[in-house]
Amino acid sequence: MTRIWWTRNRLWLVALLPALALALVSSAFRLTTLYLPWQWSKPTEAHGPSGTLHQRFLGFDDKYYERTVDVTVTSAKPVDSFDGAAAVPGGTLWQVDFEFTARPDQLLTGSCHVDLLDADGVRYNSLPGKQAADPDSFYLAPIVPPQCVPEEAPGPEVAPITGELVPSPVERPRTWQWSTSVAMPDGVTPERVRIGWLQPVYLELLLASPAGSEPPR
Amino acid sequence: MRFTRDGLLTAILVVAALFIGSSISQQIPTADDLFEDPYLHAAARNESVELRTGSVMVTDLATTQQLTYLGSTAATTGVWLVVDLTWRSNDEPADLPLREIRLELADGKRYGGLPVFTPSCGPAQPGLPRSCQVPFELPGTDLDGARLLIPATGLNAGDDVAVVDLNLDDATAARLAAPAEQMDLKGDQPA
Amino acid sequence: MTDEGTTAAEGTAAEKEPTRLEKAKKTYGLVSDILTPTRLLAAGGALIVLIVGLIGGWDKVAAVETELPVATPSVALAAEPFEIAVNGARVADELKPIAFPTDGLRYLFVTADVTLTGDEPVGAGVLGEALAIDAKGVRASEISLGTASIYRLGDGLSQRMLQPGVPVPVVFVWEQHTDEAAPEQLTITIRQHTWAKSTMGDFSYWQQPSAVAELTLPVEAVKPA
Repeated sequence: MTRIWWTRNRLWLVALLPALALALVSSAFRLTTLYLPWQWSKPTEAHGPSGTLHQRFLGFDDKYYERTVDVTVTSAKPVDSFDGAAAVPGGTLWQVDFEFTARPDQLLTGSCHVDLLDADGVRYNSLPGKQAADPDSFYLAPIVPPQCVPEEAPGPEVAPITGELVPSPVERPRTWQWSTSVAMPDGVTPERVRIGWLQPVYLELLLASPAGSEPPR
Repeated sequence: MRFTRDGLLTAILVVAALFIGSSISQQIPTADDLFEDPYLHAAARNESVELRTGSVMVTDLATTQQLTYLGSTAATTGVWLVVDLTWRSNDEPADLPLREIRLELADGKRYGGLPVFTPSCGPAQPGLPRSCQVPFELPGTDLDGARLLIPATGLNAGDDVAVVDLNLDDATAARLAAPAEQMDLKGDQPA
Repeated sequence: MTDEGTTAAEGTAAEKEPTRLEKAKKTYGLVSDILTPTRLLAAGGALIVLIVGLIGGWDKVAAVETELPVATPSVALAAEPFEIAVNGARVADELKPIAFPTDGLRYLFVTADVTLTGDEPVGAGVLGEALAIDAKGVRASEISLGTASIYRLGDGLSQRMLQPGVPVPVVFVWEQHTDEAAPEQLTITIRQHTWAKSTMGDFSYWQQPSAVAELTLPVEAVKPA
């Protein structure tokens, strides 16, 4: 390749690098699009006990909706039992209290997924690790987490099978409280809480130092 | 076409090269062959094995002629083997897929897949292990050289699989050779 | 190489008899303007087609109809991946706890002893396809699988994965619309499966059931107790 060759082809040579980059990108297949939207992969980190979750999602009627809700975790404390359930031996049940603020027309029905995280980032979900608080009773763990909207005033929802938008029997208040519980192993304290309605968007809140927790010596 | 000696020789050499090349490339595994290969982790009984989703330990074994679970009793022309497992999740709740576990005997035959009852194991909260039982329907009680293949998700899913050599001592083998008349299968419970 | 040498060689050649090849070439030369090589090839091809036709090469091939061997009741027969011994056939409106009375349906049962030969557990769906019956108005009892349901005679439980080398007495269950008359005899076809790769993905399964034998049994009508 002589000097003449370089001079004659300089424009093409300059175009070669971006062309190669484009060729590489166009032949790459973003495998992550196949599975990431179905995992909890889009966090909103609040860096505090309050935050706002905003999500655009596809309803059961194949229409797109948006939800915006302000969430505050007001407390996390160990309790003996919650809603008829206690932690299995070796575990402590933590009650987590939330306060939600949202416009009454926001679609917030459906399972509320709540996880507690410890200092190592291990995730503790609200479903496993529980048993009946009363030894004579029978405890059946729910398959999906319960809703976090008031029972009598859940707000509008899109019915799963019919796809109809069902209005709330009673208008949901702008602000309401809700609690749930998570079984954690003895001696482990939660540092953060994650809450989400539908994969992949979730909100991560920091717990203020939980009341009544003393790490065992 | 003109057949020259050189031309013919070239043709023969090309065909030979293609043949050798094709034979070699057939011996080399393709991506498809390897994609689903499991990652094997050997362990003994009463030894905890780390899998991607959690850790599992094979503890006890028992044999019985009749197995009862949730009010139903299963009979068999062979024998029921019940294996006790302890399961712990890692970083997030996970279950151990009992349906995917296989017992491989010395003759290479595999048993499992939950022939009658469908117990489950987990999901276990991290730090709160579960104890589970998985039943096998076997033609006989000879477990010499048997091993358990316990996968995190599946045996050919490109995932971790624990290979536990049952390695029975004479006393255990003798105990298993005399099955109980009836036994209850325990559902998954806190360990 | 001298002029004298080459002339001498030429002279000798001219005096030799023409070879047979040269004679043949000369004869062909006489007709080569009409019978060109292309026309000769075409004529040869047409002749071959004609001869093939005369010996029946272009006739329609009839489907080979072989008769299925007759299986003996209660005798084990290899029907890969199983060994099946068909014992009896029954019809009833119910058989608790595996079949409950349903309006418009009756049940057809075939009892058999089944052992899985082979090295890996196999699902009951494959076994459900291993027997076929000739009754009219029959629908698959296991709607999700499209095959007969399989229950264990020893304990009345639904059979799931079968295990290598463990003989299991089972009953195959089909549902029949009561619009059809209850059959008095059933011809049961025993089928084997082939272990083959799926066309849809990179996995293999027992598929393509093909008949290996059949037997005809009287159907016993069972009245509920």
